[in-house]
Amino acid sequence: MNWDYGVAPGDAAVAKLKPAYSPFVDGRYVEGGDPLAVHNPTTGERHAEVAAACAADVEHAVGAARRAQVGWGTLPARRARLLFRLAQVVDDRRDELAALEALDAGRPVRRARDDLTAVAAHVRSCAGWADKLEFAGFGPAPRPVGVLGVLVAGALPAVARRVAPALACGNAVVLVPDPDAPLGALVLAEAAAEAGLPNGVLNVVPGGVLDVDVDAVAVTGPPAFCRAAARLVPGRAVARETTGGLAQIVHDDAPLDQAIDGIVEALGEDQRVLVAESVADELGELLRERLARLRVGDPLDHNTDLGPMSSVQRRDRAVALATAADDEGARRWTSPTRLPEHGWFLAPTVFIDVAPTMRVAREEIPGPLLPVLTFRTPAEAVTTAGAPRAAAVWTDKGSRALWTAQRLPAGIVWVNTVNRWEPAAPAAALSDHLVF
Amino acid sequence: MAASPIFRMLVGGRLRGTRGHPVHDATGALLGYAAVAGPGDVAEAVAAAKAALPGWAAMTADERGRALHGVAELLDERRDRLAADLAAADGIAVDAAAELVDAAVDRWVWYAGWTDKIAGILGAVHPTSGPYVGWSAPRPVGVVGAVSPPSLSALVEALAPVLAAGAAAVVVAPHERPVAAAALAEVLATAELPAGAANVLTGPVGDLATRLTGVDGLDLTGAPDVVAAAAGRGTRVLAPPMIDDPPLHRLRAWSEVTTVWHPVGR
Repeated sequence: MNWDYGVAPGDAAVAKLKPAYSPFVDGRYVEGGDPLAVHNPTTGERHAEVAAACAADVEHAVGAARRAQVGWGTLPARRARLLFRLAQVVDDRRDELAALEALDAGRPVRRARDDLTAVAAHVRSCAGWADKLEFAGFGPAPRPVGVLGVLVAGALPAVARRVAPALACGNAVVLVPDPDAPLGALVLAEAAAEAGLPNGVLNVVPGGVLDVDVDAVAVTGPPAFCRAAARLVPGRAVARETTGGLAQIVHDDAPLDQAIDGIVEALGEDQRVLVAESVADELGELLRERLARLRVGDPLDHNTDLGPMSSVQRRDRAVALATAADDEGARRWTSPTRLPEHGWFLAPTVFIDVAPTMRVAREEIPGPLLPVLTFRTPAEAVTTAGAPRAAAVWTDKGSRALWTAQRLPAGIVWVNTVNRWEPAAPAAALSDHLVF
Repeated sequence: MAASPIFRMLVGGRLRGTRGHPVHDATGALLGYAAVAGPGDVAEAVAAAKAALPGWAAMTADERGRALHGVAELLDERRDRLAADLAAADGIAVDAAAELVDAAVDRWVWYAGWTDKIAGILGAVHPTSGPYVGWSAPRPVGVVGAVSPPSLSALVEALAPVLAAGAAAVVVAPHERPVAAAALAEVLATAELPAGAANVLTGPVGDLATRLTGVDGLDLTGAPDVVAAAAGRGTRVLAPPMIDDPPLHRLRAWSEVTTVWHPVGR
């Protein structure tokens, strides 16, 4: 059987990529400092320049945020209306932002479009909180923190999860976007201005250093990024949201086809598979069959399942981790799928005979590597999973799913699904530290 | 000069109304004609609400919030015209009327934001004294019949919480002062709500209140005289006064709660 599809390229022009970007401060693009090269991970070539925010730009942004926050913090009904409009603008510009995420971060455009729908929903939900914060569990008259510094390693959904609640609560934000994919955040700030948010409420300073007078700092990213970012701002209150660390737990009664769907959906994220010994062989076979069929390629192509990694450093780290797994005695299967000649691609790779002590079982996995560990009993599954940030439990038995969920120290546990984010669910489920 | 307008009603997603009751401004000049609903209109509106209910309740909370926010945007778009009409009809300053419209839009936005949060406030996950997990989640009460005072703010309280809770509404307001009701009817007619989820009638409220049968909830804020008579109808009744109404009173009134138990074990 021939599984080949024709190429269905999306239009790069939809992304409205500009040759040059700069910090977005006080409602407009400012000059900025030295240009940072931004690469298209699909080609490995430089496709835009972003002027880095220098110390003066960051100071400018914090000053603008401080001025804007005074009015913004005192008008809850107006915040609600304007944030609702921002959600509308994100919805209206969804295809543009999705194409930009594909170009800049390598996210397959099909998935990026769903991401952007979720971003709009998230902003909308937070808009709804702006005028009813007294019901949010912080007492009768919660006050904004003030000017919030935000550092995010991740694409627009991670940015929105940080920025939207901060704005809804009446804070002004100075955002340092992901250095590997800064463009989406800049365009989001543009969209905020278009929606009528006051100048200075949302500022984006690529490459900026937040060693300035902000009232608190919020960090989102992998554990190492969070620790490093927190060290940069000593003496400030830091809220950390650690990403990654997904455990896929497949029990012996699991609907295996659904579990495979879930594992493939999260492919490229920091995830591990834990499977009951009695179904491990069957799952492995199905998984290899499915992975071999995945299309790895141009994220703008609508048929692409897996795009490139967002930076060459991430790709190199993934390759190093795979080599370490070989050295430690794991058995490797690499998908025979064709890889594009250029760009930062990596073929889906499965490791079996993985022991919990191996690096590939413990460290952040920056690419489409899948360590598979086995367990004999549900109790052993919980022990082997350790402390994942998130888990997906695959089983036909509701009681077993809930039993597993209650014993995992994870922020969020999905049952027979994965990576669903609902803005109405408590945000605390995503935070591992909240130090105020 | 333009012909005197008809202040129309909304039934099953369609605007309707003939030159019924003449409406005058504070100086006695003719403003237009109010549609006057009869028993048939009420029955039709209740049937339309019943038909729309499953679709409206099945939409996601985000979709409902988005639709309701669209209503607020449309109301805001006609702010100046509505303020002028309300000012003329009620004999108040245009600025004061515009403030009333702004407050009504804010209040509608406030309710629009509740669609995905009400479950978090009215629902709960509760501990059990056994290997079970139990949770309670609100669901819409059904079709709510409301008799509203004629003011814009009262009409928003009659309509928005019903819709935010995922229920469907038939609202009746007095035809003697139809300006705000007709404006809401027109806004709702163009909004992206399922036809029939919100119905707005104007007519003799005392009489029409007794015709609101076959509904799952009654809001008699605008018809205090019939509250006693409604007590025996076997329907939940929200009765005035509204003074010091707790903020979630109406969202709670138009929600039912279902509790689910599920075993936990290996």
